[in-house]
Amino acid sequence: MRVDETMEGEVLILAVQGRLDSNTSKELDEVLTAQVGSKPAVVLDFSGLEYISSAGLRVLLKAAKQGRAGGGKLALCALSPHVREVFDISGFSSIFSIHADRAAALAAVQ
Amino acid sequence: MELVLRNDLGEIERLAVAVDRFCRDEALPDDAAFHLNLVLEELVTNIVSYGYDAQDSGKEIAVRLQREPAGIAVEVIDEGRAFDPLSAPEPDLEASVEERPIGGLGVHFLRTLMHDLRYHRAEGRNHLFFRKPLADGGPAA
Repeated sequence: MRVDETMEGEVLILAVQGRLDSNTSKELDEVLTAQVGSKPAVVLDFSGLEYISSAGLRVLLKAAKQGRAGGGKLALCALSPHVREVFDISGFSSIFSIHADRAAALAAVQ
Repeated sequence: MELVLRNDLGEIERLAVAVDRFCRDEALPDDAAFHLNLVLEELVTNIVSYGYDAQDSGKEIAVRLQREPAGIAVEVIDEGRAFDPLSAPEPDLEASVEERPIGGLGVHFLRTLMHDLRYHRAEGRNHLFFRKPLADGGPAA
């Protein structure tokens, strides 16, 4: 797994690539724990995310809770059909702000 | 295919590579491969995280995948403490962000994506069996 960080104005964009599983999700957890709440908004670009399991969902849920508590916005974008299915089966689609692409996610958190 | 994993989360990568190779060799559709990967990772992660005590680092987990006419038969065998995942309660999928419990999703994926689930305990081992049916009963074109 790889996480590339870029700023778009005030918004931090994290492009996650590869697999977000029980062996790799800790790396994303460290980035999100440091950034969500300290930046006004964070967008997770999942266009390069090939795979996610409940360990990955757990890290995202933790970030969502941190965002709500600290007033930082969090949005996701560009989920592949397989990744989207994992969100749907787990009921996570309804608790995240999910967008088709980066532009839509940026518009949602402005 | 039979794969024997050490009781260590670092083995998840080896599991993923082996499952991917099996699915490619059997020409399985993408979604079946993804579902097998997902459910096996969840099960092995649960076993490593909860099935053993810290001093049990030498213990092994066996994963067997077998092609059948109508799908893929899977068996996961571990030497950890007795645990029937099929007896675990369903997670609350409607809860809000604040109330959402962490955990229970792996078993939910197993129940949702796999068929013919069976568990038994024999000779100090957990045996979990299930099938991934394939829509057309044969390899993808």
